[in-house]
Amino acid sequence: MGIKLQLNNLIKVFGNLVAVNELCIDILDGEFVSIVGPSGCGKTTTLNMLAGVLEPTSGSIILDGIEINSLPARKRDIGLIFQDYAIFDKMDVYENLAFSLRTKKTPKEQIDRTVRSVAETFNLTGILHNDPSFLNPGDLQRVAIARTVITEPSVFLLDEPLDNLDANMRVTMRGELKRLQKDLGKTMIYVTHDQEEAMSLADRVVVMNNGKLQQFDTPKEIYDHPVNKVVAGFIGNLPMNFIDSQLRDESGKLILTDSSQSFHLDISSHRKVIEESHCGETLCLGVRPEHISAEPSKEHDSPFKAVVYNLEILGAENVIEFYMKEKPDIIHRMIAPPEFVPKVNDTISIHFHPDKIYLIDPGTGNVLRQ
Amino acid sequence: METRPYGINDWARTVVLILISIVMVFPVYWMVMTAIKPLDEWLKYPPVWFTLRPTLDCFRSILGVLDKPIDFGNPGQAAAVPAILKGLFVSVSATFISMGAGSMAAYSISRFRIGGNFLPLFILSARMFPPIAVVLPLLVMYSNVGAIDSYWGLIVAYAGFTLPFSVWMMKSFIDDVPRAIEEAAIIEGMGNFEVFYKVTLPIVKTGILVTALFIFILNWSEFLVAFTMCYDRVETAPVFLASLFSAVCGTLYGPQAAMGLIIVIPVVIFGYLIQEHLARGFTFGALKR
Amino acid sequence: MESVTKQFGAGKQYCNVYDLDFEVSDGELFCFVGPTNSGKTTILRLIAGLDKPDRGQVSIDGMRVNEVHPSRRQIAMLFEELALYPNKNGYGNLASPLKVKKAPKQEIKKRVMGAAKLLGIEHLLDRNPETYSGGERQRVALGRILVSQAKAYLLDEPLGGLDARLRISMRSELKRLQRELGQTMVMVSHDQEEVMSLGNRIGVLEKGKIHQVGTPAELYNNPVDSYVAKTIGKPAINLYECNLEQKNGKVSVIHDHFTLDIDDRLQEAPEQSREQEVILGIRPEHIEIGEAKKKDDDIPATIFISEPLGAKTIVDFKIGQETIRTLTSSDSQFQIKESKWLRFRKDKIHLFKKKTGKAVL
Repeated sequence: MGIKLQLNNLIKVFGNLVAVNELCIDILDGEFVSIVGPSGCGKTTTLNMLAGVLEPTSGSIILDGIEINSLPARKRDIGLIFQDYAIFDKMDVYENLAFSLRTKKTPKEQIDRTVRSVAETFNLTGILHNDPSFLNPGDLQRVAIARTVITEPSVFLLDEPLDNLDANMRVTMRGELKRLQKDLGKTMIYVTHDQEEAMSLADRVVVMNNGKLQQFDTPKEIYDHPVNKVVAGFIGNLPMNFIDSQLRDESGKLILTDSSQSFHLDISSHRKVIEESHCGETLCLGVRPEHISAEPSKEHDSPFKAVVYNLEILGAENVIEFYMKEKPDIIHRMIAPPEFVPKVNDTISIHFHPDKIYLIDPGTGNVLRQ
Repeated sequence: METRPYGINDWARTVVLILISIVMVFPVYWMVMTAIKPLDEWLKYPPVWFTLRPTLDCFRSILGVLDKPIDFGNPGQAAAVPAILKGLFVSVSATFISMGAGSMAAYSISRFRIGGNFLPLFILSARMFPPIAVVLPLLVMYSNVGAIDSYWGLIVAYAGFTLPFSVWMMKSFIDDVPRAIEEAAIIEGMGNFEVFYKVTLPIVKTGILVTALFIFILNWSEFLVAFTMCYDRVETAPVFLASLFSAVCGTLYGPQAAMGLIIVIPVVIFGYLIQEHLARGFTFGALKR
Repeated sequence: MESVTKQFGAGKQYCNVYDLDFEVSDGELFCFVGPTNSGKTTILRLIAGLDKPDRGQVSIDGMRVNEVHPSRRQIAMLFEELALYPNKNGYGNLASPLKVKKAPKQEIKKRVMGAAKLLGIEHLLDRNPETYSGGERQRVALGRILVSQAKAYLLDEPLGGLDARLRISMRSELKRLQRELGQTMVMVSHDQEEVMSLGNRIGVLEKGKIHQVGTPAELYNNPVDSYVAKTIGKPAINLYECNLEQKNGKVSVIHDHFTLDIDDRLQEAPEQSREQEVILGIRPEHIEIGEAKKKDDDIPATIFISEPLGAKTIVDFKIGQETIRTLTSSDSQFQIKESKWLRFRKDKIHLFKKKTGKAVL
């Protein structure tokens, strides 16, 4: 697969605000890339620059080897699918699909052929003459995409197209969309604020914050090896827990603990990378809720005492909010199996596995990597 | 944004726009000119497009408060100031009454659907026939109650004529206030009337201003009814303007133009203010979507 | 509420509700969940008194309040549209409920500042709503109802429209507040995750009717019909139309593409084995994926698409035209069009009668 789209040092400034700051990414042909980040991270601005709605302040956008910075939106080979699909509801499905071809004044027979063949690919032949206001979300999504496919763009841009759907419908539509992209084999760029969506759909994920690129990698890599505190805290269904801690040397072992000695974790295995980082005695300990367990495991662990603050029963699992005994202000979360139902204010023993923790340099915010 | 060269369509559009502008601006220009022309140029033919001898004589003659009043032969010609004051009094009072009754009616119609479909349209229909059709019957009714040439008579008439405007304009502003805000206030414990004047009215204060100024302009520049109902005591500004003629000089175009300018000043100022405010949204931020 | 029914005329903004019967206990956080247009807002409006029921009775603290004007019910309501006063600043908005009740200035100031501190919105007190971001508006609206001391709080989609991350942190805040203040709250939402995590008890609504009221665990484990099963749990439960058949004394569930032996389960409800047409429900988290066939009724299927979510992965399988969605924490790579063997956990199967949707197992 060759490189389809390149963003080189893309910068967009609005007055005093640097909305996009030196963004550099290479997107491969046929890849599904999602751009995700908290509100205001610059993802929509980036999308708008790709679509041609905004002009970059500096840097370049290169599509198939050609720079398209100053090309107006309609001359770019990019198809945009909006948040609410923007399907014309005064026309039936057939007319919606034919719309762009009619604007280009394509001859009637060719329009008919193209529309019918695309409709077949997308399973829309049965509803070609239906009124769009009565379509179910699945069909609507396919019509929106089919309509864009007909214009034969080389790249698809999607702006949170699933945002308006009910939670359950969204999960179903996601699977369909992903499969559709795999079958079509076209490059898709998907912008969303929902990290779960970004992770489930994409081959690679762009995580942005404050206009800057934080990490660009596969979902698995981003989840397993986040590069800094921002990515670690943003990705993952429940946010990662961060605990301020201190390093101590005790009888040759490297121990991580906190100011009130409420936990004691042996991290000698990480000695090398800690020494290389020169971060001093304070470290930020990151651990995901799904990696905290209430059951003792065999390897080196000393249980920490935690007080239950809140219990959420979600059916498939339970979420327990807890705090460390001496620090009632900071609430952490863990995921427990549905059988584990402690009461509020109970003290429970919890365990972190030293291999499933992240050590973060409090100064730079970077995660120390083995 | 890409630009393209100024094509033939653009030139044609520009020319048409300029022509239309000239046609619209010309009467105003002529009025200004006439107001500062000396007597001999008022009716000169070919017309004097631009006077080379501007004078304030016309203004002086009607205002009567400047020194050197110029007499054009009409004994009552210097009464501009009293006419302006009377006009103001009548217009402002009528506006208040109309706004007061109208906004409350508008609220009832908007929130409680008082009168169903019939009442609001009935109120609106009052404006659908030209005032000239009603003037004579009104004259008869007024003379029966002795309201001819009286301040209160004219005020009531003006309030009545502008009520459809105040009801319908206020209704549209009130319709735009989301019902949820009022319901939130009700749940907090406010009674219905309290909600109206503590919650709704402050939110539509722009709308109130716009409607009030609009109605004021209507009242202020109204001629026919004032002219018919009043002959001596109650002389509003437009009526005064009509009285500017003399045996000696015929119709006093200069002073008429001068008075016209004076009458038009508040209309222009208020009109400009309304226009700005109509463009602004006034419930932004209260709703999520 | 007892047997409350309310019908609006055609084309009105709110939806009808029929025969509502439920109780909210003191200090409870009760949630209603249902899709848009299922009557959630109507229920809150009936409790608040903004609409009157056509039939039935609404009572608060044991007293009938059908005829009591909303301004006298001592209820606080958070509207879905938030309804902040645009012409007042943050302080003005928060103070409004107390000003209406003519509380003394000192008291107002104390309570407003207290609520502002609790929600972290002190910096918004001197600004107007049009300058707020979505999350800030939500918090100010929440502050406004907290300041008034009401008998009960009604919240209409309090976390809708918020950024995914913000929603999670606001959920915790809301639960914490409710616990600390001990107030009775009735909340409605279309998001089942929200409702499951916050509610002490939950009512499931569809088109104005209540399907079931219960604790999160009850609704998850023992849904009373297929609609409740479908509404609760994410990803949604898999549902398949099947037939029950008796063969050689054994009862099986027959589907076009698979057959399951459920004899053990039927010990619980032997008379139900006479049902013919049923709907089989199995949750994605209760399906095991294996490389080879181990048991007789393991099901072969091909992978349609897989979605990694970090800790877990959603894998959609297809067999014929049916989709089987699974949720697994396995680390294995799932390739499109690979074949696997699926096993449904027998103890977690739900059976519903096809005609009525009601639960059998």
